[in-house]
Amino acid sequence: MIRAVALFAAVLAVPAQDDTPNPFRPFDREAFVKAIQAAGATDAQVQRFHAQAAEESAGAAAEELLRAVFPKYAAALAELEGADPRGVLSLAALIAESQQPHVRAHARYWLGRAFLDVDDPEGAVEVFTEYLRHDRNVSPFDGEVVFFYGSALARVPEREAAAGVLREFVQLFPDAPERYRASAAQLIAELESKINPLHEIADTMGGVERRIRKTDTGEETQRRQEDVIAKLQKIIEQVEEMEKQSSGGGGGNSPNSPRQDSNLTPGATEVGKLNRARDVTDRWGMLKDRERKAIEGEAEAKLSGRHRKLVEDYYRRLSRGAGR
Amino acid sequence: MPLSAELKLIQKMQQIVAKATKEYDGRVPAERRTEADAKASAQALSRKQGKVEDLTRKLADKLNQNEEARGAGEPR
Repeated sequence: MIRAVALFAAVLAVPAQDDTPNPFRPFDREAFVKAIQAAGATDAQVQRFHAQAAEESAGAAAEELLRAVFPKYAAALAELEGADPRGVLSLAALIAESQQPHVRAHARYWLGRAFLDVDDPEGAVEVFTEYLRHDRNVSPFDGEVVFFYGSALARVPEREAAAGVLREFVQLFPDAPERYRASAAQLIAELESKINPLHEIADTMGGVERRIRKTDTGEETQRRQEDVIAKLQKIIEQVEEMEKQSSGGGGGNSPNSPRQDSNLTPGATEVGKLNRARDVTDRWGMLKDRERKAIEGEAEAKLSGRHRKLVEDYYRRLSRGAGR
Repeated sequence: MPLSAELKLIQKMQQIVAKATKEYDGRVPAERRTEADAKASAQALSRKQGKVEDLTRKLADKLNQNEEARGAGEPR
């Protein structure tokens, strides 16, 4: 029995009640094998899967089996791992066209991580939300997706939601790799601790910056900007009062006794980072104009709706990084 | 510069960016935002927002350092 936080419950389409049953089932290895065999896996590949799952992990084994059986998936991942800017486009196209739920789930997992890697937590949240709604309970990556979903929310920043999701992660996935569980615990502590209000304002400004970069200048972006201005006003009034009391003694007193660090410690939020952001940005910068245009044209032709927008934003972000 | 003056400067900069954001939103219809000049304007505007963010974060860090120094100087 769990108590799902409201936002997370909405994502999972389950009631946010104390007696809501666990919406995640343990990875069903036999069902997975059966599905992949139906898609063409050989006996040797299946044997290797079982051996690798026993020796290493179900996640690593499932990943290898999918790459062995689905060449398009393997090619997309090879692009992503080789810092090829096409990787994200190939994954998004695969999600759009693949009828195979395991391929879709894993493609969404890697796509979300690719967005996180280029500092697009909002894009990552969208992709992980799709995974949690449509793809959970088919892959051994469920736990990792919940962890990265919480990490992405922390970077948006959606502090309360992030802390809630990460608490669920710790509770629901006791067998998740220790590096994720330890990072989740650290992040929760940071998200729940008192934060320097200026750091919080700066975090909000960071989110606004990303929204504007995506040309999202609508009501929500403007509301956040107004919120920042109002919060600054409150701090200014507090500080002016303190300055008066110290006979004009001047600055140095911090409002609300801030804690030492921002809540969004890179060490915790960047666990499992793909570490290819700089490489893929460099590769994008080295492409010829016509090559970049060809990739962008392909995204336009192959994708539609939100995925097209997310992938276009991704290439815009690479262009910005490459132009630095 | 007194802390209140630094904060007012940041607030003023944020007000300028907010005004420009509103202006952009009203001036550039959604269907035009994929065009190069609309994208470039948004990039320039986001850089300005990023600059205000940097200044805010630097001030927050400075305040934290002052706080720590004061804490270290207090008798135990």
